[in-house]
This record gives sequence, structure tokens and C-alpha cells, in this order.
Amino acid sequence: MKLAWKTISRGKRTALLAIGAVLLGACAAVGTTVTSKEWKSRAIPQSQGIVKDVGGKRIQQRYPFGGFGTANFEQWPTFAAGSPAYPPPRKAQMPTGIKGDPKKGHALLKAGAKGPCTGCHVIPDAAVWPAGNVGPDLRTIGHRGLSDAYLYQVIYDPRVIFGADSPMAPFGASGMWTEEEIVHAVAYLQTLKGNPPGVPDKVTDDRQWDPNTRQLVRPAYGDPLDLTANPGLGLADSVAVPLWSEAGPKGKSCAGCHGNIGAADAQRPLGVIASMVGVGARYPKWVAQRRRMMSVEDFLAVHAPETTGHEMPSQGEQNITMSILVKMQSNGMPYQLALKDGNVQAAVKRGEELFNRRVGQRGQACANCHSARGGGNKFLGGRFLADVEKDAMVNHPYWRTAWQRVIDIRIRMQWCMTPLRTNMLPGDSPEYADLETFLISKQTQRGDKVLVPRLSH
Amino acid sequence: MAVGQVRIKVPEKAKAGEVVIVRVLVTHPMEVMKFKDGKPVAKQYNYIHRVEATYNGKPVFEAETTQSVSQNPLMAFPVRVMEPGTVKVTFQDTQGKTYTSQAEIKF
Repeated sequence: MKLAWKTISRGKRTALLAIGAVLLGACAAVGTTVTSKEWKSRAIPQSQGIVKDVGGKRIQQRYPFGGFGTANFEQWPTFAAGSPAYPPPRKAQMPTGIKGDPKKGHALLKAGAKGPCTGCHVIPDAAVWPAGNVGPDLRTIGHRGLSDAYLYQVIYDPRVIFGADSPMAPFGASGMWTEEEIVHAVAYLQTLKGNPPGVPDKVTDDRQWDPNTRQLVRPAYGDPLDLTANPGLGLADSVAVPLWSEAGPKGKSCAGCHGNIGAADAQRPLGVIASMVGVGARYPKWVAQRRRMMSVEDFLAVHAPETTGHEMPSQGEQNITMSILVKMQSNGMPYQLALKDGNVQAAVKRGEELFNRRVGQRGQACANCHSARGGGNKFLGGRFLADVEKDAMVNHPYWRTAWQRVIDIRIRMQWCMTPLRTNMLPGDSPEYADLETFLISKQTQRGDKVLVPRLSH
Repeated sequence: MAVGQVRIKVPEKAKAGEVVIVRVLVTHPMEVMKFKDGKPVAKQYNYIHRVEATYNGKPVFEAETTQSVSQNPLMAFPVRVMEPGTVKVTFQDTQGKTYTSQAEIKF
């Protein structure tokens, strides 16, 4: 039956248009995302953050390299949706009857398990190397006439004094420091008058020791797109390149649908896959069918088993190297996150909330280290912290020389959980995808270009 | 990780008498005996201990590396080339395995 638009009465036309508008509205509506509780993880076992009893002790299973450890912090907030908020700021009364010992306080300020304070603050002690400058220089703190009770409160819970966005962890309220330990630290801080009083002590002649005079040396590791310089590129060449054209258990290969690998060029030394050029620059993407943001890595973990039958678990070597092969097709192109898409906008907003969420026993957020209010562009010990607004980048996966392996952004995020004393989420969890989306939205706005695999420490 | 992948980089073209730099990287774990309180706790070791290179069959470079060699070591050495030919590099590890690769230099 042929039904011409003109033959429909005016009233019916308006009704049809209204229905159409409703349908369009439904398509454009922002979907709700799944959470890590609902999402069935397709990550390798070490990446799933499994908490279990081993010998009567609760541990979290993590990676066997890089010093991840197995300590369990399940009673503290994590990045998971629905995780409880970190306890609010707590006022503290300085205990009476304990005499502070400056010597003990000095040792505590340097103790790794207690912070260490010297990661962020300078104290007059040449044995601390290298010192950081995220927080104020403490070499003259005792000269400022601050009361013991004030210093006690700063260490116990700095949020009471410096506000809710204080970059310092609430060391007393979190239970990391006992009341007695804080009294010792206060006693030590009051002895730091400077030499002469009010002028920071000259500790060493080494200008690299002092973070305020330290010269930032950006190390060079060679050309990341050179096979003899970047073992990560070589790994992708020996794992992902043959896998691309290898038929899986379902009889199909990646090349069967997406085309063969062509000749190499300067930006793509493993060969050009024409259909994949520019794809990596547009991810993470909202995948309506899965109701979540997905990075290339997340998508491969789902897409490869469904189409070819190749298992490609997240954070596994096959997944990471295949992500390198796909993402490097966009090398040299600017990141193009779909910022006009309502679902992406919602994810960026969720990611920003996560970026500012206090997690773990330390009760610190990403923002405390990686924004200008916190440690961004300052030294944490010898490490120079990236600022999310300036140079934080997600050119992942990359070859991490310190671990001699390729890692993706999710292992990097999971690694941050260790010093935060937080349980990690599975690498392919939707929350980490939101966080990645937030970071890439910054890169898209800056016009940063894709470079995969990088070569870095 | 694919152990024993040898990757060589040489200039595509050279002139007679030119000194070219050969860069070569091998993917190899750096396993050394682990000690705790002076006693070995992990006895197995496996590292690259010899590197040899030939140009058209003539030896041009050899090195005895020790346990101080890094994981995935990168080596670079100069070769004066008088005629077009093939540079061949062989790595030998302490378990007796050898890993070889070659690259051509054209004139």
C-alpha cells in the first residue's frame, strides 16, 4: 500500500510528527551506565581485584610484578559506583600526658609506612633523597609560632583547617598514625627553626636535592617507533601482527572483516590497516548495547571472542598488543573524543567526580596529586607529577622500562591504588572507563596527538 | 613475552668505505641468581653472555657480556663497509641457546 504524506489529514500529520519527536527524543536520551558490580569482568585473573581468604588472612590478589602487594583495604571507599563516601573531616583534641620526643618524630616523618611525609615536604636531613615539594617546606615551621594543637590538627585531619580539597591525607583520622606518634611529630616540627632562625637550613650543596632548585631533566629513551629502541613495539610485532590474520575457533580472523595489514609508513612501522586509521583517536566510545563507555582495550575483550573466537582478556598480553596495533593506526592524529554526544558528556562528568573522589585508607583523590591545587607540576619525592589540565596523557599502552613490559592505562590506574591504600577494581570496569574518558576529554580539548606505543619509565 | 626476537637496524644504503652504525636489540629476560642473607634463594640464571657479529662471514664485533647486562639488551656498533653484504648478529645465553638475525646493507 502506498501512503502519500499529502493524503494524511492535517491532524494525523501532527500526531505522527509528535510520535517521531518522542522516538528521536528516546534515541538522544542519555543512558544509564552499568557499574563494576553488574559488569562481568573479562580481565585476566590478576587484574580482577579478587579478595579472598588465604591462611586466615584476607588479601586482594594483584599482579605479580612491580610491587603491587596483596594488602586488603575493603573497608575503605573505592572508585566503584555506590561505594560509601570517605568519612567527613574530624576535629581532634591533642592528648595530654604524652611527652613528645623530637627524635622519634624525626624518624616517623621519614618512615615509608607512615606516609612518608618527606615525599611531599622538605626537612633538614640530607639522608632524605630526593625530597618533594607538593606541600610546604618544613625547615622553618617551628619559627612560625604555630601552636602545638594547630600542628596536631593538621596532621590528624588537615581538612578541618585547609578545607575539603586539602591535598594532604588525614593521617590521624585514617588510623595510619596513632595519637602518640602525632605528638612526637609535633615535638619534632617545633624544633625546626631554620638557620639563622626563619631562613631554611642549607642542607647539601647538591641543587638536585632541594626540589625548589632541582632541574627537571626529561629523560630520552630514543625513538618509540623504532623496533630496536622500543621492545613494546617488537612485542606487538611478534604477538598482535600474526594474530590479526589468524583465524580463530569461529573460523574468522580480524583481517577477514577489517582488511589486511599493508605496507609500513613512518608513523605506523608495523604496517597500515586502512580501515583502522583514526579509530583509536575516537575511543573511548559509548557502546549502547553494553550500556557503558568502552576503550579499545575493553572493546577488544568483548568483540574478539564474539566474532573470531579468540579470547582476548583485558590486561592480557594479546589484548594490550592488539590495542597497540589498532591505536597506532591513529598515530599523529589529534584525539577526537565525541564531546557532543550526551552519553560521553555524562561519562566525562562521572569521570570528573571520580577524579575528585577521596578513596582508600589515605583518603586521597586523583586531584590531590594531579591538579594545580595539589601536586600537579611538583615533585613527589623524585617523581614529577603530571597536571591533568596541562600534560596528563593517556598515550597508552606503552612500554614501561621500569617493569620491562607493556602496560595499558588500566594497569596504570590500578597501580595508583597501591600507594593510595585502596582496593583496585577489575581493569575493564566501567568506572575506570569513565575516568579514562575524563582524561581523554582534556586531551581532546588540548589537541594532543596519539602516539602509541610510547616509551617511558 | 616472545623471547629471542632479534631486531636489527642498519642504514638502507651506504657507500664504499663508509662507517655505518648497526643497532640490534634482543628480547631476553635478565635472570640472575637471587641471594638473601648471603644464601641463594633462586638458583636458576639466564642472561646473554656472548654477542658476535659478522659481515659477509667476516667477524666484525664480539662482546663478552656479564651478569650486569640488562633485560632486553640493546647494542650498537660501527662497521666499515667496503662492499654490499649481510650483517649477521648472534646472541648466546647462559643456557646455551642462540638467537640470530641478519640485515642487508645495499650500495
